[in-house]
Amino acid sequence: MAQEKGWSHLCVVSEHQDWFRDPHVIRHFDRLIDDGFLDQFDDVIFYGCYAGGYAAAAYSVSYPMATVIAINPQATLNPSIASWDKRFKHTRRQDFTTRFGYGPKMCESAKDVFVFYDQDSFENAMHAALFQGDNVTHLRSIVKSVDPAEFFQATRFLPAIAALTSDAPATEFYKLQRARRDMLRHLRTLLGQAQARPGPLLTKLVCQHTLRLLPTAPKFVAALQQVEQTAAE
Amino acid sequence: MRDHGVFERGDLSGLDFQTWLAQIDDAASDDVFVDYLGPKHATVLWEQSKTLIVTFEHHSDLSAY
Repeated sequence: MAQEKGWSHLCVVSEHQDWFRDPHVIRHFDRLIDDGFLDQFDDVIFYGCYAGGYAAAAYSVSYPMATVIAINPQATLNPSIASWDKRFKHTRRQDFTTRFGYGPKMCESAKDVFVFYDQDSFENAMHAALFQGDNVTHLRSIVKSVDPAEFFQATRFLPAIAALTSDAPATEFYKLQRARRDMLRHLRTLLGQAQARPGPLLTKLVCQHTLRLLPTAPKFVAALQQVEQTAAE
Repeated sequence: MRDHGVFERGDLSGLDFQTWLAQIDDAASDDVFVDYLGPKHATVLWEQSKTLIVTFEHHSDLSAY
């Protein structure tokens, strides 16, 4: 994506899933600040999903007026703030209180903070709610059954980031999400839900819609045939 | 962010972290810099323009591609 856009790209990569709280990472960002490395850029975008979303928010303080795109981020795993999040027991022992610690605080000086979250997850919605401020835009995932991170990957990032950096980011982003309702995974989930309901109408509508987009999708061809056969009997 | 345009010369999937980094270091063009941050983290920097995107990734997510 960075290559297609002609952007520079700094990828911070960890061996295992962690929250980038390692002292080496912290020291590296301190060094980037001290050396003025980030100052040579006109715009800096911090991007990450889940733990990476936390890191994107936390380290964005190293470039004031940055744009932050955090997908299902954890605000912190400090038990005194996020005791309700029981998902990451081992990580909760890490220190989230010192340098670059609390995600929402660290992105206060950002130009824009986009928090894209899956409202079906109580924990994700709670973390998203901890990000507050005039620079924060909360974006709910409206395509159920499609992981927000997967949504970004499916759009190959560019349209999503273009939408977020437009003059009307929320409107453009929701437009883009609505378009992703045609994602096959979403349609499969929809088909399953339709089939679980009494009556054939919803199943028929889902199949007809999908087959207009993907005329040979086998699961939908079979489901439609079954519905039509049942109706004929 | 699955973006490997500058590393297309070799298959990097399925490699352990250190080997993966070493391969990137070897295969990357002159404008790509790998910086080791202790044993478990690294940065890969590709400088191209005045807009910078900073992404945070896990090796397992990247090396699957």
